[in-house]
Amino acid sequence: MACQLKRDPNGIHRFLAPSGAAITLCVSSSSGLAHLTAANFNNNPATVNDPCVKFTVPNGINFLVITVVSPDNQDTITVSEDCGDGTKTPIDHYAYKPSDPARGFVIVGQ
Amino acid sequence: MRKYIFVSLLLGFSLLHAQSQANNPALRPFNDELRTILTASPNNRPGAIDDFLCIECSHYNQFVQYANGADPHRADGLAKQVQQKLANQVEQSRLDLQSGSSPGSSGSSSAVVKAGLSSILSTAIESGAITQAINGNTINVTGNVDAVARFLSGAPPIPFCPTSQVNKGCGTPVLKDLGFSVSVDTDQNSTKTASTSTTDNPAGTPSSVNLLAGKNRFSGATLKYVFRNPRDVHSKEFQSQWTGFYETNEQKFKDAGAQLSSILAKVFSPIIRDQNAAYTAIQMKHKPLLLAATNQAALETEMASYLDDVLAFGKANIPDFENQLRSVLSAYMLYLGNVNQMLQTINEKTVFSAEYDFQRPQGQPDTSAFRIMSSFNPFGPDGTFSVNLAGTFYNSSSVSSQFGRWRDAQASLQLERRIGGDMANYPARFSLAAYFQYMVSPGLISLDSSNFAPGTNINLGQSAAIALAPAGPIWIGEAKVTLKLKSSGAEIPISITQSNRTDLIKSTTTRGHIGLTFDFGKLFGSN
Repeated sequence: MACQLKRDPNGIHRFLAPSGAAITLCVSSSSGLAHLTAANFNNNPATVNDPCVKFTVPNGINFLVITVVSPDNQDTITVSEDCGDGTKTPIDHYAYKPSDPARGFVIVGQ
Repeated sequence: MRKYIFVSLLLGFSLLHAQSQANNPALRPFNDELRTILTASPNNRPGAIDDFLCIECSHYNQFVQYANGADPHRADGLAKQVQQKLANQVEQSRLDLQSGSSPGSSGSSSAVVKAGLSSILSTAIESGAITQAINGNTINVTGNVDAVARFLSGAPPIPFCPTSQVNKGCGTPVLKDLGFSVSVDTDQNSTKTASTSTTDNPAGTPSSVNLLAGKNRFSGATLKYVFRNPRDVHSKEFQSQWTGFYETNEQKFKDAGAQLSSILAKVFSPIIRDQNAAYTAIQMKHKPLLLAATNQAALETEMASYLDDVLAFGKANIPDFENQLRSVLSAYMLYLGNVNQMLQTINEKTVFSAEYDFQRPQGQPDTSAFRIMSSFNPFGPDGTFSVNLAGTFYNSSSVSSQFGRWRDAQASLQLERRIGGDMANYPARFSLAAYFQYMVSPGLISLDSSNFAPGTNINLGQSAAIALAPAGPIWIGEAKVTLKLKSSGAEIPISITQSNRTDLIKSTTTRGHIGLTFDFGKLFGSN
């Protein structure tokens, strides 16, 4: 099964996914110490199976917020899509900010 | 020459750093983004601007701070309120504070000194003695140099720590980790009679001696410096500990994350999700303007213009916008307070401190003690293990020339656990301690002029120091219960000790000790 998230060329850090797609996003970090602590998808708590969160993309604009914790203030976080075939595709790469542990994603289901 | 190069580099770095700070105070939460865009290569600049434009990516906290920049007093008021609430929880949960005097003092109830420092000021009234031959009553005042200096200058003793500083530590460097204590004996008699052991003490020792006692006199002072020991997060040891620590506290981390993410989703959904097309249009409108801004002033103008547009868009689309911003800020403060407190527990698990202790023990020559201490939590956050190593020497050269400079060497350890309750609210603590002191020199006493020279009927005529007890080991075991009077900051330590001898009297001794301590730091923010 191939990865389903793609960058939206018409938005800034916005992603496209087929409607009804089951997406698994996983968090990793350069220190190896970061944990995915929570996720909220479209204003509802999403089930987290650290370091991954699964959700199904409905049609339209969807809003995912995740929170990550790391004891390393210099950590770098990578968010990857688990493609289901043993491979992972990085979709986001950012410096961990202890003062703002939340990261948001806009995913357009179409 | 090297000095000038160093100063030039420092100056250059300072200028560079100063240039990268936003001149517009409201934009300062975005200093990092401003610096990144200004210093990005032409190829990386569009990506850096995209990162700034994406509020939902990771700029929630900064955006709310920018929004509150128009009314900083309101933001500070809320932030201070939340910080005080958290600070009180932290103070109530601390097990590393030493309010009473050290074991060598006449009125001490503690065989072991803890490594931590009071946040502001604490006092203790204690009755008893650990190593001393006679019981005493002592008032001990312990303080944090930074907090007391702030208080005396009219500033808040615990400084407000803005979110951006939370991970760097707040307060005056060095001074915030420096503590002091002053002890005063409150006995009303000028002498006390102590019985001696005719079989164990040197020949000619009288069956009782009159020891000089304190009479509302200064009996000692201490200067303590706390060295923290942040862990190397890349070490295998830390990684193993972090795994265990996270598993233990996983639910707390999850709860904190869930609370924060749900508030962010609720507050920002109306503009990020429901009005995404309009929000994207604002981003796209400002992207070329930001790309065209080549110097800091122009860039700041464009960044502020974009944020103002998003703010106006938020006000128009987010119901009860002002209160929602407050709830986001409050959620961040609570998240950072809770999570950082937990992270601090693992990052600064072991505390090392060192102190110089000037003592004027009752009826004995003045001494100086150097002590190193450590407190850590080998069995989880409910218990604290404290270890002390110390050495004492005589201050007076006339005494040291006769009996030697070193008086004694000490080693002690204590395990203390909360009894019932949670981290901050619990009724009592129980501790067991073992104390070992080796008397390198004989125990000396200062006899007042009314005593006779040992083995004679000759009145001394003036005060003198004589050897009473021989050199050798002192073993002490202590069991202590410390009753905590809710969140008042007051505690009552009650302990019992059993020793093979005291520093002056060579006979087995069992004694009880009681005290009343009051920590002003635990009152902070309790309302």
